[in-house]
Amino acid sequence: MKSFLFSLIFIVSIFKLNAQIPKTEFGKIIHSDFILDPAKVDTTAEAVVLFDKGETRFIVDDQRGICHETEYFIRKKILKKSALELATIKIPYYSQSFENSQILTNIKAASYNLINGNLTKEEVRKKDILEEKLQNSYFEKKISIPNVQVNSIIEYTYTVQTPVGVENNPRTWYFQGEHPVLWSTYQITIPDWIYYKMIMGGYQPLFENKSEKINVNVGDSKLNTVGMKYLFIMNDIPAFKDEDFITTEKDFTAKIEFELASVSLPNFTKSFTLTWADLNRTVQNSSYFGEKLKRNSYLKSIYSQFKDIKDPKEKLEKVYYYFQNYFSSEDDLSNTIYVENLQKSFDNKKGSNNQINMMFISTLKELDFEVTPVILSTRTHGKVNEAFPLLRKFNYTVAKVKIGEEMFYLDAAEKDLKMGMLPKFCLNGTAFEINENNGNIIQIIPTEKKRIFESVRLNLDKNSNKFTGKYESFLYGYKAVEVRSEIRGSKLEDYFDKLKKNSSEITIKKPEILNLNDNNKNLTLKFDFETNDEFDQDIIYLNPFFSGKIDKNPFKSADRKFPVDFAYPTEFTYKIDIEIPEGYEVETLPANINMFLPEKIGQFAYAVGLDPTKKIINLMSKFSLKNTIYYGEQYGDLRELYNRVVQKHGEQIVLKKKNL
Amino acid sequence: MKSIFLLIFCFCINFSFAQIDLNVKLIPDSLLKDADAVIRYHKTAFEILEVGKTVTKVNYAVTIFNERAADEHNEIVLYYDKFSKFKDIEAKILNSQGQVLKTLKKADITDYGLSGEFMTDNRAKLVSLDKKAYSYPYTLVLSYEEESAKTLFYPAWNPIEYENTSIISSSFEVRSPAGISYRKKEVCLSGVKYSHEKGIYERWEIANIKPKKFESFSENEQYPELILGPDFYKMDDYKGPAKTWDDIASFYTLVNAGRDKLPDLTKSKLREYVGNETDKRKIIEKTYSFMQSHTRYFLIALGIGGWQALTVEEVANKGYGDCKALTNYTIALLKEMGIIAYPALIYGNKYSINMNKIADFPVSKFNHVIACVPLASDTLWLECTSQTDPAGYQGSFTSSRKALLINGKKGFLVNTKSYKPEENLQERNAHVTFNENGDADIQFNSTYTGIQHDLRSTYLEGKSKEELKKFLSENLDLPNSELIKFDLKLDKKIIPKINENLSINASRYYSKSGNRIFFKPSLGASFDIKGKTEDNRETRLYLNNSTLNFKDIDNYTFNIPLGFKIEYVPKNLSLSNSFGSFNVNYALKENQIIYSRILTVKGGQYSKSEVEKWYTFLKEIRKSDNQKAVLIAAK
Repeated sequence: MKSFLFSLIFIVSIFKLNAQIPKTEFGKIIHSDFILDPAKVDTTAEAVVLFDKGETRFIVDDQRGICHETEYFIRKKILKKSALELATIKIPYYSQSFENSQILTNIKAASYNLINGNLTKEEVRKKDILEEKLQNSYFEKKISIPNVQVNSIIEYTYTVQTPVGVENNPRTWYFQGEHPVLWSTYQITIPDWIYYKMIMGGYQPLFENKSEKINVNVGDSKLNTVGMKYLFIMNDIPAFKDEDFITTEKDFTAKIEFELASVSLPNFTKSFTLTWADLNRTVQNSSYFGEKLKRNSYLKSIYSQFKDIKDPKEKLEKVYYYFQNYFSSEDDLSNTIYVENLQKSFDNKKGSNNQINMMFISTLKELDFEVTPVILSTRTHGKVNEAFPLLRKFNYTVAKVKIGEEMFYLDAAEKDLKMGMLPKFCLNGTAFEINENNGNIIQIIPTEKKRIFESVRLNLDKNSNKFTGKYESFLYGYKAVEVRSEIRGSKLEDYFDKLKKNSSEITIKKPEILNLNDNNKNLTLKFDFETNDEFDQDIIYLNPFFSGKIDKNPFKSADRKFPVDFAYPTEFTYKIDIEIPEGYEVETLPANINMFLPEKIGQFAYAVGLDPTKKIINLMSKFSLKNTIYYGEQYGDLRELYNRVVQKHGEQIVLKKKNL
Repeated sequence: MKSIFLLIFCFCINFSFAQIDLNVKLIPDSLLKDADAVIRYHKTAFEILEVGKTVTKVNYAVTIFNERAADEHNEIVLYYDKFSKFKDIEAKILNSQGQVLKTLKKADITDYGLSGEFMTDNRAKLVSLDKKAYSYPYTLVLSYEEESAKTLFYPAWNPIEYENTSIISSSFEVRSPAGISYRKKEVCLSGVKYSHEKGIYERWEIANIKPKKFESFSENEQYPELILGPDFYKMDDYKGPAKTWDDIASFYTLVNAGRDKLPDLTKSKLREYVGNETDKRKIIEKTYSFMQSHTRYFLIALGIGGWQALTVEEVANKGYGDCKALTNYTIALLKEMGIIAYPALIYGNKYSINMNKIADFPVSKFNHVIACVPLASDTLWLECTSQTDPAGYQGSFTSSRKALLINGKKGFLVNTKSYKPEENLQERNAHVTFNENGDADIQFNSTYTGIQHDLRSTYLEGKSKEELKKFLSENLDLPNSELIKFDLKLDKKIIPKINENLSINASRYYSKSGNRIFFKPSLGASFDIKGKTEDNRETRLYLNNSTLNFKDIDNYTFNIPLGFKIEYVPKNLSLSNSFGSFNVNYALKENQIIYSRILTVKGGQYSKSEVEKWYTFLKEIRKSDNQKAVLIAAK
């Protein structure tokens, strides 16, 4: 499956010979720009991007050093009133010292209207470009383009100059966005003393992909040189459509990213990460990572407590749960694996997940465990591409511990996990182990499922004519995490209240949860219940699902472009024993079914029958999805499997009075 | 009701918090039960320095017992703009014994711009005290001072602000110098007042309040509240009395005076657009539509510009403006066409708020302005920030509430339009044919009006065809259905209406167990609002006029497939209450079942005794909507 994903990330150029990129610039609008071809672009959209252009070059400034400078030019047509707000342009920038600031120049914006064949233009005046200080050194220019109506064309252009730095790469170019795009073109000219990696992503073909060697003038005679000019063009790009069950839209949007690889100037040569071994070394030697794992005397008060435990697994468990309880974690995930101020986090008993896990790794080291840090990218941060060892792509650290032959991946910062599980947001495929050698690419595979086993015993209460039942369920893996997190975020009472509120057909009594505070154990949920309906008819229609009913197919649309990524396997089992009420007999039971997805990567089994005494109906439903990701060609089958589950879960048992 | 808020008179003011022992042990047990947090003391001192300047000093201490309370209290947001500023922000965190763990540093305060999509000088200071984890319980002690030159607006005091929080004491005091008077409105509250030659001092306090939970379907009207109103204001170069609705109207008129000149070009374009229309109503509609097609909403509120609109000329030239600017522009356009209209100040939000509290207490509590056109038979309200609404449609943002109509120096508090449930109608007719394989073909022919048309209209007017289809599919509560055809038409009348035709293939719509067919006649029609019975309900039942004021009619015909007959249909049901009614009827024919469902809910206030009935009503509806009918193979 890995190779499949890869072929999607690299885009094959397809040349559409019948199309030709229009030559245009700011202010050059012609009548035909107002006409859109429904065959090429979704004209029911609220707006269409007619032209989106970026051009990046490098310059050397006496005071500011090497900078990259990009000229942006965007032209859009407004098709619906809801898109009028696009006429407000916001350009964010940062400004600290003169050397370390983005400089915005050549801001221009205008609107065009075609009324009775007359083209009118309204340009924004300088004084209508407003500025707001957002926070610290972050600012925003705001432009409200005048005279914008439905069918107007708006356009704007500006140039941003940014000092080059590892953190200040040329901005990622997105070919695709929330509106359909007719033409998107990006050009970058790179002198040969600076080297960037360029990474393309998304599901859209390039119209043109050209590169040529040219002379580059950077405005400094000593540094003028030869270089490469790259040109990337896409056309007729549909709006990006978000779907459920994907990691992040970033993984699927058509784009091109840049990563500084090396600089070689006459008096300055530096290579930035290039191979996985380089990345391993960079991280190892970093004072924000590897060095942090060396100095750990501040942790003594923790690790000294565990020194004397003999059994390594018991010791690991003790330390793990100690960390889980001891530190509060700040919820928001960071953008980098680098951490600072570990000692302060320790003193505060509070830190980012990365800080807590770094302290955890240090502690395990001190306790002589075979432990290494594993860096990964969380699901919302995007997938890591094995072909590009880029530090920027990682934002999270967990621990890898080996005890004998047993391997554990551990996140000691997240609260509700059983030892050995990683949180859902970490289940994102490729990760990288930092070690003494060259590091290791590893695949994160979930060790647990989202699993629930529910069982019910049901009988009819002759006095009230209502069914009463005893419910018990066992929640494992990610299901247990889900429920523990929910209860931790509110109160146990509130959880029970919600449970009661959401059960429209039954009244829940005496709810109870076991093992709530012992993450090492599965959760048990128990309650008694009574149906709200009375069953006094000659014929009883009974839907046997009082819980665990899947009554909606999450996959509504008939086709889907992106893979369905569940993160972990799931398994839902529901069992019920129904005592046949006195004086009644079974009229009809639903049919049994046992269906599989190809290669048994999913299963739905539904079986119902009478027990040997003929007094009890046993019903069992088991729905499991073994894979974490389902690809395009499997989507239809997956959707159909859900359809069958929804249908069977809606079926009824029919009982009727004897001798009727 | 008042008696539960025990009044304690306490005259020691201005003591610093360092002197108070804030040991957690000192909290009485009765206030600890069910409390996520305990407000140890909370003092607000509002002082009128001069007509154009006030100072509010706030200091309080709150003990936090768990994460939920920490989330509520650890970050304090202080909003300000060109007319106000905060100073002397100080905070401390104390441990359970009352010893200082942390003192607020400058770095713990962040300053933000808040304009978002627009351009304003609204900013906020965010005071964060959560950089470190403290073991519970801990006590947060905070004080700050706000200087304000926005003296048309005096503060209000709502001491019971948080759920599950007990209050040992919370107080509010006012001082004003001799010669500057003010007004007050007390809700479930009374205070003490001292007047002497140097001015006035007044004080209110509540104490020993046990933790509360806000009640649902309620305006929570039993909570104490104090509203203050100025007698005089001064803002920038504008000043005057502020006692009456006329005074508030005069302020609006004054700041916007002489800004209503329409450019000649716009006048001629408008005349051309309206043509030789003579009907007054049509002229208004065309003028409104002219405004809609030439403008868009863009908020610019800098300095006094928060109340003073862009000139009409600027709106005409730039094609944008905020609610004030667009309303003034529309009024100028109407004037050009010989029609008189007035601006009406309003508090707009999705939940019609009860302005009755201030109906007899003139204060400026508005956030929006619309245009009002009196006609011979009725009144037309024009929402000038909408590019799509039909003329006169108010939707849920401004209907059913009070507005201040401004006629020069005169101000009148008037009611905006209230919609009847039938005007917010959803009427759906469907024909269902069962196929052999378990599928069903369903033809829907539906009408949506008023508030029930809003969401569909947003999709129809603002989204692509694909997005509209996705929305419609996801709104069908039929598990495995596919939308084959859809067609929506919008009729822009004063009560707008959408006609919708849908063709659906509901795959596996019915389930066959043996020789029976089970299906839900409600076709997923539902009113899925849940309520939970509260012990000791304190407040009246309140059904929001914007969301709980509608009528649903469903008429569905099911064609019984060949070889089947009806075995069971649920019982007919008829519920009727003061707040609404629900009727379900099954008509059985030889080869058809005709299901009809009518649900009416009337928004408004109802007595406390109706609360339980309301919850039963919701439950019965939910139960009925989930019921299934049964067909059996004819032998």
